[in-house]
Amino acid sequence: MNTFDEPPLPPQKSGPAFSSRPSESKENLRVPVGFSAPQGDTAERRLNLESYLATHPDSTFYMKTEGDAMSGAGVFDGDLLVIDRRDPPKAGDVVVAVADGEFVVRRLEYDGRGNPVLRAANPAFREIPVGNTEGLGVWGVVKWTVHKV
Amino acid sequence: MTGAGYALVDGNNFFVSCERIFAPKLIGRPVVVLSNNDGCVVSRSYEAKALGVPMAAPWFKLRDLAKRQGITGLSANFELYSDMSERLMRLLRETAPGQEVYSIDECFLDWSAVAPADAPAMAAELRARVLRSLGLPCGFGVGETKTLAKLANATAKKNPAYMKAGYCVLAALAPDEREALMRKFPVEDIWGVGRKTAPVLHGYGIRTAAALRDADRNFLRSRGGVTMVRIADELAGTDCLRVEADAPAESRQSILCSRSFGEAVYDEDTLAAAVAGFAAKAAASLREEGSIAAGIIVFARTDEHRPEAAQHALYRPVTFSEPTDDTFRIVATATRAARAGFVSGNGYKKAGVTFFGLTPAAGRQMSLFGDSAKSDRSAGLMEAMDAINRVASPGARLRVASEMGREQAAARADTRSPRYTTRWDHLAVAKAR
Repeated sequence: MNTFDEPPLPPQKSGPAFSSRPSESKENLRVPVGFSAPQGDTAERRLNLESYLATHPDSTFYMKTEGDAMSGAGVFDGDLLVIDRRDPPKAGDVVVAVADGEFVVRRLEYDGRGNPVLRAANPAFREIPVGNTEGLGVWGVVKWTVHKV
Repeated sequence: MTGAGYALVDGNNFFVSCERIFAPKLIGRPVVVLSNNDGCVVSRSYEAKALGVPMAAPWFKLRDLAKRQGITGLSANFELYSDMSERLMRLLRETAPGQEVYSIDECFLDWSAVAPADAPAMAAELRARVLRSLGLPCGFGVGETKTLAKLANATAKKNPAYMKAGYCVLAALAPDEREALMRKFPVEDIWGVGRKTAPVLHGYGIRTAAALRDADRNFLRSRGGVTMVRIADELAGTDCLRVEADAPAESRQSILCSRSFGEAVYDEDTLAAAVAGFAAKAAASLREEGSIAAGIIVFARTDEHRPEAAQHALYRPVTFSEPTDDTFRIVATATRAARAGFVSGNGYKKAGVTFFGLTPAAGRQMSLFGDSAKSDRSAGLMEAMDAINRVASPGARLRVASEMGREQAAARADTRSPRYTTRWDHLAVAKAR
C-alpha cells in the first residue's frame, strides 16, 4: 500500500518472493540486467532486503525497541524489530507480547508447571506471566533485529 | 455452483479492529472511528454498539456520552486500514481458486470445490489464521449463492447462536435449522433489498427471507421487476450473480466501476489506460452522488478459469493525502497504483476500481480555505467534463490527460493513530524494560 504523496512501492508478488534458505538459492547469484521490467517474475530484480527479512510479507510487521532487557538475546535499545505473526510462538522464541496494554519484547518460556512466562535476556529484569485473554498475550515472533552499527 | 458455494468474508468492525492491532489498550473498550474531519462515526466496537452509539452519529453530539462512558473516538487512519486490507485480501486470495473483492473489508471466495461437511472446519481454521496472522477478527458466511452467503455472514454477526463461532455455513445446517434461520431473517437485511423496497414488501406480508424465497414469481415481477425475482431465486439457491457486475447496485457500499476485457491484457500501458477510464467514470459518479472518498481500490485479475495460465490478483487500496472528488487526482492515483501493482507475464482478464471512506462532500467545505478560487475552477471544469461525457459517444469522451490536483487544507484529524505500517517514523514501540 502506498499513499498519494509517496512514490509507489515496487510490485509485490502474492507469495513469498524468496526462498527460506537464501544462501542456497540460485536467484541470489543472478546479475540484474538493466532496468527493464522483469519477465513475469521477480528473479532478476536487484536484491531487496525486505524480501530477505520478511519471509511472509503479509504477516510481517515492524516495531522499534526501547531498553536493554533483551541485550542477552542480541536485541538492543533502538533496534528495529522484524515480527512475523504467521506461526504460533514456540518455547524459546523472542516475542513481542502485550503486558498491561503495552508491547514488550521478551523470550517465551515455560515455568516448572508448564505455564508460559516472558523472560528477559538480562538478569536485571523481571519475569512476566503471559495472559490468556483473547487479543492479549503473545503478539508476534521476532524473526530479526536490525541494529545500527 | 456445487459444494458449499461462496464464502463471504469480512472484517468485524474493520476500522476499529485495525486500530486495536497496534493499540492493545483499546481491546475490550468502547471505541469508535470517525470519518474525515472527525465528523461522524464510521466504525464502532461491540462495546460502543452496546452503549447505544448509532452508526453515522455526529461526534460532537456524542461528546457527553463519550466522556461519561469512556468511549475513545479516533480520527480515521485510512493509510493503516488500506495496508491491513491489502494484507487481508492477499491472505484470503491464497486460500481459494477465486476471489472477488467487494469492498475494503469484504470479499467473496469461491468455495464451490469445498464439500459442505468440510466447510465449517475450514471457516474456523481460516478465521483463526487471519486472527493470528493479522490480528483481525473476521466473519464468515457460506451459502450456495452470493445472496445466501451474505445472509449467512449477517447471521454469523447478529444471531447469538452463531456469533461466538464467527461463521455460518448454510449447506452444513440441518434442514430444519436452516429453515428456522430463513424464517427468522428480516427481509430488510437481505442483500439488494433497499430501504425503499423493504416497506413495500412488508405491505404484501413478505417479512422474512423465507417469505421472499417462496413468493410467487409473477407477483414479484409485477411489483419489483426482475431484480426482485433474482433476489428470490438467489434465496432459493439459484446462482444468478456469478458475474460481479450483476450484483445489486443498491446494496453497494461504494461506487464500483469494472469490466472484463474481451482479450486478456498483457501490457502495463493498456491496463493503466483502462484503469484510468474506470477511475474517471467512478469520479464522475462520486460527484454526482455528492461524496468525497478517502481512497481508491484498484484491482485486476487474470482468468481463474484457465488454471494453466499464469495467475495474478492485483489488489491495491490507496489513500489520498486528503479525501477528494477530484477526477485528476483520482485518475492519477489509480493509474499509479495500477502500474505499481502490475506484474508482467500475466494476462489480466478483468479490472476495476472502487472507493472507500465515502463521506458527504459538504464535510470537506469546512476544511477549505484560501484556495477556493482555484478549487472552484477545478470543480467547474470537472462539471463541464461530466456534462460533455454524459452525452458524448464512448469514443468521443473527454479524457484526463494530466493531473491538476487541487490543494486542500489539512482536514482535522485530532486523534489519528500513527501510521504504524506505512511510515518508518510512526512505528510502534516494544519495550525491553
